[in-house]
Amino acid sequence: MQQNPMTVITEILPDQQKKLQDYLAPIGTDIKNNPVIKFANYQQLHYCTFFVIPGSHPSEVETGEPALLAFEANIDGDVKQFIKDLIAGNPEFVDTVYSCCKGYPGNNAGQLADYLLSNDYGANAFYVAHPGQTRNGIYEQQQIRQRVEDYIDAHRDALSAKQPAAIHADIVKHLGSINKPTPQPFLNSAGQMIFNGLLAVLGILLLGGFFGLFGPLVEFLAVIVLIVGVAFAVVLRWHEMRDKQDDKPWVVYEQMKAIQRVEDRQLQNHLTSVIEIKPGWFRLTTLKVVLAGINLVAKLVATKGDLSGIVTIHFARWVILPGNKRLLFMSNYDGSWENYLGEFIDHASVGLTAVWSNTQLGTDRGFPDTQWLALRGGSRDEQRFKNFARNSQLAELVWYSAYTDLSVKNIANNRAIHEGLFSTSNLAAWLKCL
Amino acid sequence: MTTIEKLEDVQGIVFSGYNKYMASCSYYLLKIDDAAKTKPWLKNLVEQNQISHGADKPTEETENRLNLAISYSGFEKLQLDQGSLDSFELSFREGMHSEHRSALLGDRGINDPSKWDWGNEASLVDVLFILFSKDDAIHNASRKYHEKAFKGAGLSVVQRLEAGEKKQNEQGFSVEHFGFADGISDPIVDGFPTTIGAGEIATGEFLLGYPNQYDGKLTKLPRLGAAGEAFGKNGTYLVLRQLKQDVGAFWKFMEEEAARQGITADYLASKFVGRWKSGAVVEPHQHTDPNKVDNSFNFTKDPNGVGCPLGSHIRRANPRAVGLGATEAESLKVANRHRILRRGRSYGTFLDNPAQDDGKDRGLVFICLNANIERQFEFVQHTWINNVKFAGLYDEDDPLIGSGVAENRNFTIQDEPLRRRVCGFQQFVTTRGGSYFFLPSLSALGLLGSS
Repeated sequence: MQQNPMTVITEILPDQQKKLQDYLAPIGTDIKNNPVIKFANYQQLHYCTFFVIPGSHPSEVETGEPALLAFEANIDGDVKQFIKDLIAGNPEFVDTVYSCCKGYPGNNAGQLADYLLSNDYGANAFYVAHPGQTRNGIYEQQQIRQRVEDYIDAHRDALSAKQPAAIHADIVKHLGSINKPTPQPFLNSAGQMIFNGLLAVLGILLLGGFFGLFGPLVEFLAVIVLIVGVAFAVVLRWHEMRDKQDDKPWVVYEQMKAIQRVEDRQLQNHLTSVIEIKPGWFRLTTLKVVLAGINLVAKLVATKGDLSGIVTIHFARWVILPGNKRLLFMSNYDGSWENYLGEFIDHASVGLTAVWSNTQLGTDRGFPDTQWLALRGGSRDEQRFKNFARNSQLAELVWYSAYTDLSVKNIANNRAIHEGLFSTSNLAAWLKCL
Repeated sequence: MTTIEKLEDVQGIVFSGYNKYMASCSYYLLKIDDAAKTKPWLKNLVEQNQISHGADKPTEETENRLNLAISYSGFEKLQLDQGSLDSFELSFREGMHSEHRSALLGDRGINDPSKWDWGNEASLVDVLFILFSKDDAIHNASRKYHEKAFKGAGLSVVQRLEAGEKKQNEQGFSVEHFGFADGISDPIVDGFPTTIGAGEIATGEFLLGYPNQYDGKLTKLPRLGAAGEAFGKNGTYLVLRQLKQDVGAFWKFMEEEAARQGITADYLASKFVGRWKSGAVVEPHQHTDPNKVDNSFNFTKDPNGVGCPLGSHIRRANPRAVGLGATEAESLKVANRHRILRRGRSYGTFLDNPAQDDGKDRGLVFICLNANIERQFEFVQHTWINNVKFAGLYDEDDPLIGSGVAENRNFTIQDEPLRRRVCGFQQFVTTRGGSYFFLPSLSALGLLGSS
């Protein structure tokens, strides 16, 4: 089953913002035991967040926009079904939250569902570490692993005297009847092949077209692509040379305090960043194209818990906010912020810079100086980049994770253990998963 | 290769722990009671050339060496303006004992700052004063001299940590209280006078104002008034933690657990550390100490931890070329962006029979230098040492010094065909105090004294 992003963005009625924050904050403080809503009851829900995007950002950027409520969820299957379930399961919660927002249609379940759906902006780019891995599947595989480990702990001496095949047989026998793991969706498992195919076809068309191999129309198109490419490069450099990076070297301390209250308290963290898109159509268009590219890579290539070398992201998304002026980035990740940002710099400078170099904190507070969109500079400027990221960050009011005690690698390993139960080859390697 | 322009401006401890000629060492943790008196004292120390620097290498005749660092509360008391105070990095400003830093460092439960002997809110330390001496007789005289000077300088002693007797193994490595060779793989730093040829780590990782591991960028420099960033240049951040080692409990557990599993206590303890007592890394299918130290390994011959376990202490403290990137080179590049330079010593007397504790306090005065506490010391502590998900593991932290798991600690020993597990052990190392300091250059100390 595919995972889907839901990003419901609604305008908060100015006189209701405090009420809304006062209602949501205690739920966030006690996510498991609060009396209002048990997110764990929604079996299709991996992560969800509620947070306020203020009109004026705490890092002193005045956007002149109204405050928005963002409701982010990462769900198995249909978004519509999740919204229906949510309203049916916690009508009062949904009603109280959205009665604070503009356009609230009243507490009729159907109308409320339509309201949420019509304000769902999904994601311009969406990354899932393990596509097809449902929440229930993740729970089930963790239990299987636990049973295998317990069995080995109790019988290690006897088992370690045997050959891998015999150990495997003993474990399988001990477990009894187990469901087979569900295969990855076709698009994801064959994604790399499709992606490579697409690239090859495109390359051949361009190159061949250029030399007239495929007739005048393709030749014409190839020339057009070349001209557009050169024009893009020229305009881009012109923009880049006029951009000003943020030289205000420190983070806004009050904002940091708010973020620290919710950060690094557990094994996983959630990052929410809202940032202004540089004005003008050129940057917006560039950003949209880059995000479409990242989305394609996420769908086809990065489908095994590894996004460009970063192995700690469960779900991430980029969303251009309504009005095309601001960019939202949200991510659920393992470990500390320092580690996460470090991984961006160490492994994913190109993708990250290609996105964020189109944004700024304010007119003279742009992203660290970048050349050729992503090829040089940008996030490689470690300290400036970290400050930029920090200053764009917002603290969430509510953040829920369905499996706080499992890392991206754990989930992959649990799956490998599960799959190995149904395999007869490479059993010595399989035992290394334990 | 980077050249350090003025070695005489850099405090000597950056380049050396003075292990060779300075047998005695005291760590004074001081509180400033009267800054008006402290400033002239500081000025005098600099003017009278008492602070050791990088150009005065000790010899057999050298009697003393002295280094000095200041904490955030110390700078506050020395009345730096707010702009200058804000120019220090955030972790330093907040302090090791602060709520957020403690959560990050795993200082909770028995390690909670409220239980520390010093360094918590109730007993903040402003100045760290490290006195090295050639021998005990000279040390006692020097101590008397400086302790008297503290009084005149408006300083009181919060705590004095006395480095204990030094113990060396046959190969010349210092031995820590659990009995293992220590300090084998400190980074070789580019441009340091102790480094022969090109160093493996950029100068700027341990000395501010020089290129760092990010393609030669500079790490943020703290500023002071008219001196600006010149104040921060040639300085670095110093992290101090007093780590108490429960040697008796450690070896008692090793012996009991080893007997239960049918292995030797030394084998089990070595798997915890990742090295044998001699300092040799534990290699796959090796059951006894080869007594031969070769530190040039990168874990590439043991990617699955069959020899040196994935979660062992030395693999966590520096994962080298395995596990942090798609290739060995990439992994090494990442690892090298988080190195720390260790400069501490053991404290307390050594136990003759490690399994029979005498109840005395002993452990490690852990000192490390780094240009960025968040990216170096705190990162190593949080993301490698205390991380229960390190290297794809599930629920175990560093078995030796970790505090990421409160009780019923586990440790997996990778083996073929099946892993071994050690379950339900306690924490053998406890934090008893700690603080973040800034180790200024000599010229910066002079500025502070004259301000």
